[in-house]
Order: sequence, then structure tokens, then C-alpha cells
Amino acid sequence: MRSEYPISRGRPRAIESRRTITLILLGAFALSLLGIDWSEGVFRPRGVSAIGETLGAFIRPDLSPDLLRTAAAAAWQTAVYAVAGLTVALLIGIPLGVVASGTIARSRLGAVTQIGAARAVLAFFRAIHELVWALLLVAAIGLSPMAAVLALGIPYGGILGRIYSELLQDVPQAPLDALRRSGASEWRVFLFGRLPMALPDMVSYTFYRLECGIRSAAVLGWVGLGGLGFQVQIALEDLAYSRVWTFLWALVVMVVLVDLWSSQVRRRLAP
Amino acid sequence: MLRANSALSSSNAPAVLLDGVSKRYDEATVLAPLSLAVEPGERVALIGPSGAGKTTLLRLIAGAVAPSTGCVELRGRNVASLRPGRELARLVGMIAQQFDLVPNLSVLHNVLAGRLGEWSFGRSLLSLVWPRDQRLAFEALERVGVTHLAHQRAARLSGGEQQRVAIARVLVQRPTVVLADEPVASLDRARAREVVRLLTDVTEEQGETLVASIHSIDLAREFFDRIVGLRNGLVQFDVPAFSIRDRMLEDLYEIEGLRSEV
Repeated sequence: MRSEYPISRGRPRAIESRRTITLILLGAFALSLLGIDWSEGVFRPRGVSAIGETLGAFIRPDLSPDLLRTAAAAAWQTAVYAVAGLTVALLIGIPLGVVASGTIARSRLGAVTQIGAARAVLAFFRAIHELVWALLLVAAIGLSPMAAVLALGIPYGGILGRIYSELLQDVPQAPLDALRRSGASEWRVFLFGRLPMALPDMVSYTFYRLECGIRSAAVLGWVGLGGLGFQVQIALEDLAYSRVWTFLWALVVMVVLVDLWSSQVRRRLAP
Repeated sequence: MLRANSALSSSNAPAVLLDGVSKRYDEATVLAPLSLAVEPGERVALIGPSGAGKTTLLRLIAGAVAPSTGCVELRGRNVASLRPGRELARLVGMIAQQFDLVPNLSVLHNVLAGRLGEWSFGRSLLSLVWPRDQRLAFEALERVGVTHLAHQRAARLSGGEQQRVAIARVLVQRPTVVLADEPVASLDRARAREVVRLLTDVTEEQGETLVASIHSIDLAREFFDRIVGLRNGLVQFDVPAFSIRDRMLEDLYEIEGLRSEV
């Protein structure tokens, strides 16, 4: 096995540098402890009792019918933002992801150009956080649902496109070669080989992004776009922790529901 | 019915012609200059030790790699001058050792992939949802005996069933020359024999030429017309299957410096 030789030679050096890095990080942590003024206490004066209140509310959220109705309406709004945002993300991510994978190019030069251009656009979309997109879009088009959906859809499209492009590249090559030998062009190889082989992972990742989208849509409430985040913000201003937790539990329930849905779909897609 | 696309090419040219063909990768010579002609309808088995150049030879015939010197002709047409895709696919098809099917697609779709060279893009796209040319695919599946698996995903099939599906795919592709690279290497003896029998039978029925590398001498003797022994990139012998002698095989597989004294 000629290929094992360089690996066995490289290993000691890798371990050595890993040890060095570990020592440096431990040293940095120790130094940081010196920077804390222990005499004043780590928590602010009312902090400890606030933690107690928060934890108590975590177990006993406010479950009055009125509040549950508010929570359900807010959760619905957040879910709608998340789903609409993800739809925009798919519209951006699928075409750009396919182009960024370079798998439908006719020539090597074409592939390099397509990969470079599409990856640059995707990087631009996802380099800016959804909250920043929200602030920019609210400034541009005002406090409208459109702003929330685009704020979510643009960076998520950038993320989906990048992951899709990599999943489409990393499929087993042997079946693709077999399709080429039976006369299929790259587009047909894509349809009958790459896409079916990458699809289960693409769907699985999209569902994970839907979970993240619900979380992000809730946070968008903070910039005044409504939904669960907005309700949490109001409750926090009133220091009503039991109400805060009602809304947070609603968020947890939604994420669990998406998770259950996704495992259902994945089971059907498994080869 | 299913017939090879013989109308495409001049009728009395050999099915496969290699003329002074060699292949070098960097400094290593994989195939020394060799010449070989295979007549239409002939069934040729390539045998020889690992590294003899069997796979390289098949890939050269398939047009998957270009020769370093010499030229490869299929039915009188230079492979280098054929456009990859439909033109080449009508002349030559290939069955590999394994891992050749798309695991997430149904058997039916995998078989129909043999039609991708003929289909327009729209037809291919449509076929992902509503498969076209189903009758052709079912005829091929029936011929290889796995009609009942048509709607299974390829990943759920056993090794022997997968090779049958790979044969069905080549059947709908209808090339004039079928190549097979160790098509039964991953199967047990009984199944290997069944698959080789099937492969030789169906290619003969369709009037196709078959060139297969195979590690089992017994199967080569039983099912092929002609056996070509390759060693170190050279043709060591090229004889009718019935006339092969043990002495020739010993020489072919002899390990250098370990020649046993008989």
C-alpha cells in the first residue's frame, strides 16, 4: 500500500501542532480569568433572582386561553414568514446551486466561469445576516411582510445554493460514467444521475434550514415585523417571564413539528 | 424488434479494429502497440493477470480514453472522429463490474437510461415523471428475467440482479458492440455462470459483438468463441476457445521469477 506511506509519516507532525494549539488556547483561557474582577461578583446584583424567575417561568409558562390565542396567532405568522422565506430561498438556491456546481457546463472553461460567478453571488447573499438584510429592506420598502420574507429568503438562498452545489458535486462517479457511455449529455446525466443521488441529502438539509428559518423569522419580530419575536419582546419589556416562556415554548413546538415532518419525508426518500 | 444499429456503418468492416494501438500513462506503458480485429457477431473473452491491460483495452474500444499511438475503429469508423454521446452510444455500450446503476432510481428508470442518447431533452425530463418507451424497457427486463423488480429502487437489488439490470440497459441502448469489464467479478460461481450465459445469449440474439474481460477460464471456454490472453500489455495468444491449452494458461498467469519446474 504505497498510499499509506505519506500518511504515517505526516501523522506525528500533525499531532505536535495540534498539541501546540491546545496549549496556546489553554493559556489564553487562563489569562482571561485574570482579567475578571472577582470581588464585584460575576452577576449583577439582581441577576441571581432574575435567573430564578426565568427558570420558574420555564416550568410554569402562562397558559391562559387569551395568551394561548395570541401565541397561536403569532406562531402562525412566524411560520408563514419562515415558509415564504424558504420558498424565496429555494427559488434562489436551486438555480444558483446547480450553476455553482459546474456540473451542467459543456466545457472546462465554462465550468470554471459558472462556478466562480455563481459562488460569488451566493457568498454575497449569505455574508450578510438576515437581521441586517431586514434592517436594509425595512429602510428601503418599509415595515411590510415583503421585507421580512426577502430578509429571510436572500441569505438562506445563499446558504442553500452553496450546500446544493457541493452535494451535487459529491455523488458517486461510476453511475454517471455509465450514463455518459449510454450517450447521455451532461444535462441528462444531471437529471438521471446527479439529481436523484443528491436529492435525499438536499431535502434533508432543506428541512434543517426550515427549522433555522422559523427561529430566524421569530427573531425578525425584534425589528418590528410581528410574530413570536415581537410578542417575546413586549413580554420581556414587561418583565413577564411566564409570558415570555409561553411564546418560546410555541417556538420549540414548531421546531419539533418540522423535525417530525422531515423524518417522515426522509424515510420515504431513503434508497 | 430489438436489433443492433447496423445500418449506420459499412457492412463488411470488422466490428472492432485496433491497429498498432498503444497506451502510455506518463512513463508507464500500459498497452504495448497491438493489433486486433473482431468480426461482427463474434464473442471474445479477454483473460490475463491483473495489470495486463484488459480494462485499458476495453476503455480504448469504448472511446473513453484516447490511444497514445495507432487508431481504434468500430465498423470502419475511427472512434476518435465520433462525437461522444449519441453517435458513440449507437456503436458501443459497456457493462462494468458493479456500482454502475443509479441507486436511488427505480430499475425501470435505470433501464431507460440506455435511451438517454436517443431522447431529446424534453423527453428525458418528462420520462423522470412519466417514463417513455416503457414497452422497450419491459421487453428487456423480461429478457433478463427481472420484470418483477421494475419498480424497486436499484439500491435494494442483489449483485446478480443489478448486473441483469445493467444488461437490460445495454439491450435498450442497442449498440453494435457490447463491452463488459469483469461483469461477474463480484458474484458467486452459480450466479456468475447465469449472468455470463445471459450476456452471451442476448448479445447473440441481437446480432451484437461481445468483448468481455473475465477472470474465469471455465466461463471463457464455455461461452465465448475466441480467447485473447493479455500479459504486460501484449497479446500473448489469440485462439479459438476450444483450442486453448493448459500450458498457454500457465505461461499467461506465471509469476515472474517464480516459474515452477514441471
